[in-house]
Amino acid sequence: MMRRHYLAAIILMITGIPLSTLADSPSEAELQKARETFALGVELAEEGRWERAIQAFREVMEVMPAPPVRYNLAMVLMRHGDFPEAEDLAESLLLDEETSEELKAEAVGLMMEMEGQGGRIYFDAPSTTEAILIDGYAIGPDNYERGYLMSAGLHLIETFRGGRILSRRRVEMRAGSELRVTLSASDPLHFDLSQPAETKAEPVVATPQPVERDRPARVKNKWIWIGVGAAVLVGVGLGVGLGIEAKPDPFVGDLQPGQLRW
Amino acid sequence: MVKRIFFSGLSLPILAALLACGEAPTEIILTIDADPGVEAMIDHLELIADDGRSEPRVASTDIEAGAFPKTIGLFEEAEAAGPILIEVIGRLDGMRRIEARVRIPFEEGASIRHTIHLFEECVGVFSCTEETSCGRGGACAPIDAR
Repeated sequence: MMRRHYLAAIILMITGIPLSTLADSPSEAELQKARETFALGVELAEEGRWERAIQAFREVMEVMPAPPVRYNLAMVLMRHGDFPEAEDLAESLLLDEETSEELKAEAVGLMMEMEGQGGRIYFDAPSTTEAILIDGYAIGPDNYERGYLMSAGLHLIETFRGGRILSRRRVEMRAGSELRVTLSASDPLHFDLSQPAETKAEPVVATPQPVERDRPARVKNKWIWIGVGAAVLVGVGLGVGLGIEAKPDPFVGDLQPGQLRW
Repeated sequence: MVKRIFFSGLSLPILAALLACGEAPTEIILTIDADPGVEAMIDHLELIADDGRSEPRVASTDIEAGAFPKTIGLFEEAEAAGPILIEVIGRLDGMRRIEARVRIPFEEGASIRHTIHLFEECVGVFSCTEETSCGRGGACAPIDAR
């Protein structure tokens, strides 16, 4: 099925792309290189080398952002698990008058496949947040409430303002579920990777239930527990403070994407 | 008895502080530098980093005058990565003109700095084995970072 999709896109390439979809009238040499890179991208995709294929289609997009190129990029992004960008590309195909009906149907199929494999995430974020990054893919405030498809598994959510990452959250999406994440400027920039990621659709408020059983009298002394609680709070505050001091951000360089993760 | 409990309570800040105070990120900070002759001879730089277990990660950029040095962070999030084999390829019009390789292991909680230098003598040298890479003077040297 996948092979058929890529080949369909190739056929569309060969049969001609409207000139209006070409970026800044590229030269014939640039077009030729883009065609070769496109063919390479298809080859890489058929071999399942998603990251290389993504890179190839991105390069083609710079010269030739035609619907077939966007479709193929969306397809390999989806296979790689980058649903938010794949969803944006698929939607752009549906809104583009130059997209053929056949390709629109394929784009709808792509979105349905992503919905089947992943879930949707919604955000509540402070109005001062300029963008939210989902695994590095930026979405603007207009799209926070709309929600984005995300593949099942762990994801990194970051808030961004003034060229800086303000906060980080790690969430786990489960297939077929919806996740609402309330972001705050006070979210920590660091988190403990040994702690489980957030998976709840709604914020959970801890409401301790009274336990009916006999306890030693000393345990019932509220001042003891107030003291212990205060000590723990001081400790956590101290720990977080020290953590921020002692644990710098992972390095981000100027060779794009700046950081590679495992 | 109450005193002993308060003593325990006072020890909790220290414990909590120790728990919250994590290690530095496990990362490799890589700098890619090049002789001026190399910079003039390539128009694109590609970096492929492979831990041998998952799909290789790729970074790339176009090269213009004054582009070097370039930097990138390799960050281990989940203690899953093996030694990272890093290959840097310089291209001109898509053709491979220079390459360099290095293999670096992550060290838990450590930020390792390493520089890959693209020497002018290595332009067009593709005869090194998989376990070696072209280095100073155009000689092949072992790829394991020291």
